[in-house]
Amino acid sequence: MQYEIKHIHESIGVTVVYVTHDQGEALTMSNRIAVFNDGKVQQLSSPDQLYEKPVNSFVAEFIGENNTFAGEVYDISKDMCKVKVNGGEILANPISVKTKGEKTTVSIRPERALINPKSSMDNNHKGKIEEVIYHGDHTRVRLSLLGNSDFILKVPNSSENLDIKLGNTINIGWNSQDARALDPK
Amino acid sequence: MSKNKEFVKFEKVDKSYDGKILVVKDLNLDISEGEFITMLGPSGSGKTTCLMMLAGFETPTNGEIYLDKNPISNIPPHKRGIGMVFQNYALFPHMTVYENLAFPLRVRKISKDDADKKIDKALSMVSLSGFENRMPGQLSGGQQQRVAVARALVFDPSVVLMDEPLGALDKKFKRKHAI
Repeated sequence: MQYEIKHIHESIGVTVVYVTHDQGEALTMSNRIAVFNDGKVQQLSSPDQLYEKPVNSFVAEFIGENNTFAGEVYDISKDMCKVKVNGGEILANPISVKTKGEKTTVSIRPERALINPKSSMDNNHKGKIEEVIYHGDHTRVRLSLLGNSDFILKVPNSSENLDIKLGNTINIGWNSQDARALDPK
Repeated sequence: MSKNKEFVKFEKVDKSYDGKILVVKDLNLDISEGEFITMLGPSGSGKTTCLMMLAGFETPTNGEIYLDKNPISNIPPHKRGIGMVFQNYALFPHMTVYENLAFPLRVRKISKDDADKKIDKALSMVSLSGFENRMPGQLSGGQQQRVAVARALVFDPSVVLMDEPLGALDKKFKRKHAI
């Protein structure tokens, strides 16, 4: 039915205003999505921008899954900041933060964090595997990493044989551009 | 011809039900002609209130809504030329599928010949050609919702509003299968 409505819209070109609380429906059908919270539009973007580039913690949390770290900015330049978190430091993309000392929540989509990354990434950390759940097309791995015991990875099952076993410690990397330093939750 | 980028325009719209708490705060939103835009949010976020103001079932406390450059606050819902598929906006149960689709056309005084053509086209769009004489009760939840979509489109509205149309479907489906 989602595809049906989408196809009808494409074939007759009528303007559609659609209301839902279901992000799957919204991402599938829309040209643009207005995310509402507390009586205000938090972000108005195309589905891919909304998912890839949330502008605040509410949107990052509401759309899709994300790994978060609460911390404090201790160094910042135009396109990079260093955030001190519980178990260490993260290099992140300063989206909502401007100055040293600001509190922030860093948000990283699960698929942006890789195990033993081949290309060099500017964030590299060790994580301990706490849970492994097989989902057919991918495996969902929960790690303890930098004091966050709820760090989720989604590993495609086409990946080469990785050492995903409960209790193992593995190397995790991500790019600072994919770690968005947003408003503190 | 270039499309109107402000086909629907919310301008500085506030909405309060009790005169104290704003459930919609200073909403500015432009919707292009032909665009599919979704208002997404948790319950109580103000998204449905915005849709109801566009439909004409609620009035903005402050600000104005424009449809193709015309302010619409003083236009009643049935004169806004907007199609609607609402969760609780069910089909008329005592009317056939054909009669359900003919209703919005009759209100708009469309001739029977033209109406028949529009009904044919709308039913074919939702893959329900040949269902004209069925009663809603003889259709599955999904089919009923497709008739509701056809009824919203049958009079060639410039804008169609849909409020959780698939959410209703889920519930119906669950009700039907829960014993």
